[in-house]
Amino acid sequence: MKVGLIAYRGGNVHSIRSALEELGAEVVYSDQIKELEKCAGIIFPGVGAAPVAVQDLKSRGLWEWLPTVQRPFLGICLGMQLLGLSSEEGPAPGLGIFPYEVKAFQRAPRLPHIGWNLVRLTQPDPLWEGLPPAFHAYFVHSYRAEVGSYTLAQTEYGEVFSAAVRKDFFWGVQFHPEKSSQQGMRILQNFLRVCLL
Amino acid sequence: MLTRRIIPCLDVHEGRVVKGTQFLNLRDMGDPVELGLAYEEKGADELVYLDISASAEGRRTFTQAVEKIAAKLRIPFTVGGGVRTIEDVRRLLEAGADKVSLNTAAVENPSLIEEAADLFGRQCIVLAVDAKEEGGTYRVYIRGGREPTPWEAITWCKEGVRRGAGEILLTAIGRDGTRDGFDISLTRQVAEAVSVPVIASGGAGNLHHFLEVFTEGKADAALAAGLFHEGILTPYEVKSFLFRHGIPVRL
Repeated sequence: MKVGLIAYRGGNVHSIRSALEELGAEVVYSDQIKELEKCAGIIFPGVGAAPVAVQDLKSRGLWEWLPTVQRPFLGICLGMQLLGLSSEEGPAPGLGIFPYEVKAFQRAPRLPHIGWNLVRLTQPDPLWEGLPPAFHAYFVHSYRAEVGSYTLAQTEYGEVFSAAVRKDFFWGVQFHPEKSSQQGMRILQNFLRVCLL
Repeated sequence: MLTRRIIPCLDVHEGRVVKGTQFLNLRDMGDPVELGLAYEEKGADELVYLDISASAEGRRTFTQAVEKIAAKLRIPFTVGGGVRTIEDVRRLLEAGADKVSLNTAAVENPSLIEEAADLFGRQCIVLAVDAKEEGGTYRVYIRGGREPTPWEAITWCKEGVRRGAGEILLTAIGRDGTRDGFDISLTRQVAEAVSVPVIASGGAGNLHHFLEVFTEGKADAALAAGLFHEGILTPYEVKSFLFRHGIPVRL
């Protein structure tokens, strides 16, 4: 099965790519809409600063296309943040799939929020198949999305924030499943299963 | 709650994990990928790979090893050793490392920290600081701990964070390899002075040392090498002990 991995500046995609391949997916790493549209699902990675990412996505003609994707879509870290209305980082605009405004942590003990933190599942979802109600996942970020009706899982770091979100075909995870050992791999596997449906 | 991390450190020479003292009597320990995966299995939260090759050829081999590690390892890893330029940082990140640590080059050219943080994000720039106690204060050393600098350690850590370092890897070189315990005073002073996570290194010898560096030392993570390589303790054993003493860990 083909999974599209969006190619743009700022994403360290080695790990996510090899993780998906290990799970049996054929990864199409591309910034070409034509190629990405041949895929059963889309992964939107993200490392780095929001304004740089937005500018780069716009210059590649991907910005307008992203909200129109009609297949399972998973935003990771910055990829999830960009699915909101806006980000305080920069500031930068968002894609407007979710109604959250991404803001800097206000009460965090230390920033960036780096390391393994507890993810508490708050809504059942195909992504959580086979996972315990709470597990540790690896985070690296300084901005976060607030909790809302779209929240699938939450984490606490000085304040409670959205660790995972969903609306229709759009999923977002703030942590890095590709860096979260076996449980992260399970989440990616679950996403690939959703793509097969 | 954010957990405290346990990080094994592996020295890599010409693409192989080695053990030895001061570059002498290097003993082959095995393949960096296989050893890394074994540590992931044993509960390591993260790994550090240090390139101790001195040659250009050794560095190329190291970059290839980083690519192979990134393809297999499912926990984050930092790489360091001999990182001199922005191009070195780029090469290692593009090879798949999650973070790159800067040490000597950052002292000699502090703007490298800013440049790297601006280009790649501060979350992937680790400032490695080797400190030695001298008359009640801590002095920063470079070139593998051989050369003193004018920097006082806490001041340098603050400066590094101001310039964009996202984490501090703090080694008490007087403790390195002694198994006498982490330098609690140094760790605590740095942890209280900076806003980014601090990884304590140097001196881990038993379970209580880890507990102490998290409680009294206020460290966010603890790094050890020989203790893990010799199989005296596993990361999982350390974390189980910490858990029983109320420290949040990933088990």
